Amino acid sequence: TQQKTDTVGRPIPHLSAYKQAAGEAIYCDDIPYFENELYLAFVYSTKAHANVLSIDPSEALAMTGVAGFISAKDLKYNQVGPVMHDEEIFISKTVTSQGQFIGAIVAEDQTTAQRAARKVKVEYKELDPIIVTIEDAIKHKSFFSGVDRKVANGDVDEALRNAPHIIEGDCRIGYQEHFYLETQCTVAVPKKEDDEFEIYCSTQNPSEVTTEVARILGVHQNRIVTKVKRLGGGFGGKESRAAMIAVPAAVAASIYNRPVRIMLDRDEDMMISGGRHPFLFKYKVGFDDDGRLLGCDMDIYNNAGYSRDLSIAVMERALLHFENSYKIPNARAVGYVCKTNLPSNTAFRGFGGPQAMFVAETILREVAEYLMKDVVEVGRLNLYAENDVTPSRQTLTNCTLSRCWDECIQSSDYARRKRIIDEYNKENRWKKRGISVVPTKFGIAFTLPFLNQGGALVLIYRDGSVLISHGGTEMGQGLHTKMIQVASKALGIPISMIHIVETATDKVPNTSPTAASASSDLNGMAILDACNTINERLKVIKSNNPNGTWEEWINAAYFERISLSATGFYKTPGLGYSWETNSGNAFNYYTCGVSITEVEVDCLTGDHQVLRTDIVMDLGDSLNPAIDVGQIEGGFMQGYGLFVMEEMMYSPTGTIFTRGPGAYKIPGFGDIPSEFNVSLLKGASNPRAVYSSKAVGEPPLFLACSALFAIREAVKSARIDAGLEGPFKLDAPATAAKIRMGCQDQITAKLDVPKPGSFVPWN
Amino acid sequence: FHNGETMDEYESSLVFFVNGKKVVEDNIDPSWTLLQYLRTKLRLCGTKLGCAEGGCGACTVMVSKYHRAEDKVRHIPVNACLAPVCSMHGLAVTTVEGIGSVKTKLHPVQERIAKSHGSQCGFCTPGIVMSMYTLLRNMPKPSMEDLEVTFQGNLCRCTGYRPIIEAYKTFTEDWEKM
Repeated sequence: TQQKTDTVGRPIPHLSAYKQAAGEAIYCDDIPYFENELYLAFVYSTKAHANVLSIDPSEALAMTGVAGFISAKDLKYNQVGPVMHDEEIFISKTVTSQGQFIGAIVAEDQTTAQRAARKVKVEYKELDPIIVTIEDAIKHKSFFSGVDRKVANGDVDEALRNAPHIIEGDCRIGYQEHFYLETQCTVAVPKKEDDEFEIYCSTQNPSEVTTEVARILGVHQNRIVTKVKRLGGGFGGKESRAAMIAVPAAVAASIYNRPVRIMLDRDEDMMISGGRHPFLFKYKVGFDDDGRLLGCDMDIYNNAGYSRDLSIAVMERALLHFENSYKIPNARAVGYVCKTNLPSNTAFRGFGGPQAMFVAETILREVAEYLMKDVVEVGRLNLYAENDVTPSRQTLTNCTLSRCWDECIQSSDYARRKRIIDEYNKENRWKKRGISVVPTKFGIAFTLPFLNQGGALVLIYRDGSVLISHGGTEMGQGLHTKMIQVASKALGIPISMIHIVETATDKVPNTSPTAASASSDLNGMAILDACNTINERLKVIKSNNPNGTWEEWINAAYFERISLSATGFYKTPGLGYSWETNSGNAFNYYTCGVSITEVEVDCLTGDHQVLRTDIVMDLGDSLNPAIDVGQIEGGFMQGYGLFVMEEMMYSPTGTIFTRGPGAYKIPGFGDIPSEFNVSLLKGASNPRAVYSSKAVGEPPLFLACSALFAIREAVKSARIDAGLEGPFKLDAPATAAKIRMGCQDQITAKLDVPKPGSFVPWN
Repeated sequence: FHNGETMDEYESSLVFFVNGKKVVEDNIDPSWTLLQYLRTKLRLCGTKLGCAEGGCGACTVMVSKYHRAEDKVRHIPVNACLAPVCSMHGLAVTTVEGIGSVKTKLHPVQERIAKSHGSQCGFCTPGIVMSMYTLLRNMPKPSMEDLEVTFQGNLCRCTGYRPIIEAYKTFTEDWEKM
């Protein structure tokens, strides 16, 4: 039986939850002011593509309280970027997107800094072309070169030649803004000796902040300590882009030799920090009379914005997920990363996976409709089974997809509800219901193998209390809570004896970003390693006094001069996919799940309600079911935003119109499913991660796609009533406008359809 | 006036209360918001900046005022990011720090959202706590519909909302009947 002190697998609340509810939990901008602190405000580019002719800060500099203005001229090193240094901190000559930094004002307080920044005069000479959309990029052949990525398996040409049926098509999915409730924030504090710096930053990647600041300031990384207590959400948006704020703050702090703080306003954050990549898919797919997929040839495009950032890795994950959970024996997909004059897009929970899996679900429905078959039957027919091989040639082991599928169909009472829905739709003309089943299979590991490493430092003090540090950051996902549970089990002491203060580069160096859903896997194993080292050292002490308490053993160990601190380390074994040869495993394992969603659509307005969602998810033996169910629900609702609600609006000249919650709608309290049933698959231990658990962060997000396809079923029913059979498209996000226009009727027939080219589109 | 204060001393001063304590501000910039004042002057940082346009509710505080016509005190939830601090003259502001703390005792509104897994990153939590707290000050036994209306101005990006509603369902009249 499980020990009382062993909390692994128990629903422990987030260990900061009480402080968070009391407003006592400290976020970056809550850190007390430092003596002599300055505030930084950026001067943003207002053109998408232009040469900067002149910058005149004189009016700003004349304001009381303004300490100075910094620009490219003040920097020795100006090139930054997480993978390739293909961006400038401050633009030296040519802006390639609105929102790039022309320079920054440093002033005594925030209000003064922001007012002064708006008074800096910039003259531009505009350049052609301005590339905004993926189509613009294709037209101008504007791709990031040298990064050709493709997966290929089987004989695609042969399979498509011989397939009884062929469908060609395309589909697309839009941008998503992270909307972490806490915007990007940094406080950079010069220590005034030996080039030492302390940087407090709301980042998922403290090591990158240290690396980049050290490189730009021209000092060793051992001088720059980056500290992260917690983030008010990250979702990928603070994986690489946090350094874009931290580096200029550190530069300013270095120049003025005073602490410098900056927290972006929401409109600034939305305007400059990028988000989820929009994708366009063009596909050709062959299948047989039963709907079995035989072959697929696909081109995938994503809109990267002005710099590479993580866009190539995002494309890689898309290429490794475009078939979602369906077996396609002969498949080829080629990725094109589009360079455009928009803010640089970056990581976002799912990292290209949700966008790519959307195409598989679109294809599946088109195949079923072409053959006039039930999409659920066609889905089940094509669902991966044990030992099937993916297009990237990874063999699936411990594949629980069909178990999740069958259990979800049963527990959601799918068959009966489908009949009721069909009946409802016969009886109602202007309201329609729809239901849909969507599986997911999400590969766990960074696609760059070397990032799959974790480190930990475990310190035990003389009173027996334990301080843990590890490389992961806490952004709400309950990572620290889980890590304390792991350490508690490993050391055999209650969680109340264990504490985590922060994540810092002087505790664990060279850490990977808290990303790829992998942080509890990697850091959990590293903590286990450190705890095992200490347990080994305590063995002799414990055997001398088998009935002693933990405190007695620790005290005895101290007097025996036994070290009570240990590092721990872990690397995921067996990874290494080669893009050249399409071989080697890209992932450590897959997290799988299935969701079934029912909606009701108002055909006259395009409004809808999610009536019910059922999810069955395989998370191995969950470390903490309360946190994991919270991740599933939170992930699902974020996916619901992506697929149904959230829409970014741009002008053809690259201006972002949607800069706050007033215009950009993330899901609210009233948007959640009226009935929401989440269950974890039982009896599915995962042999490949800490205490048989599985990664949970990103995988559930895609399941919200079931809401979009349930809407599509409802719209289809409305179209059939209007006498419209045959294929139709519903791209993501399926906003009220798209739903309404999809429900074609005598009212939509009265609308004029403008001639292409007769107007300038604004999205 | 009491304690010998005169009209003159009040003429240009902004006087209001924050968590029961009197604040007298003699030299206030009218462009300052309540949020700015709470965070930068008083360093009460439990109230957060999420959007500065009244859309996210991370800055929600309770404002209490004496309503002359009704001869009673009214409590309203307010977006501190939009409320000019000058408009607080004569009013009482309650922030998340004002209703309970880990060091003393948590308010049931704080305790239940935490215990029910309704707080993940925690940045929206103080605002949601204050919306719920204000509702309970006006309506000790609200209905589920009242909860829905109360949270129309609060956004959360982490939880998917269900655990927050589950936590606060326990305050409703229906729950009491169950």
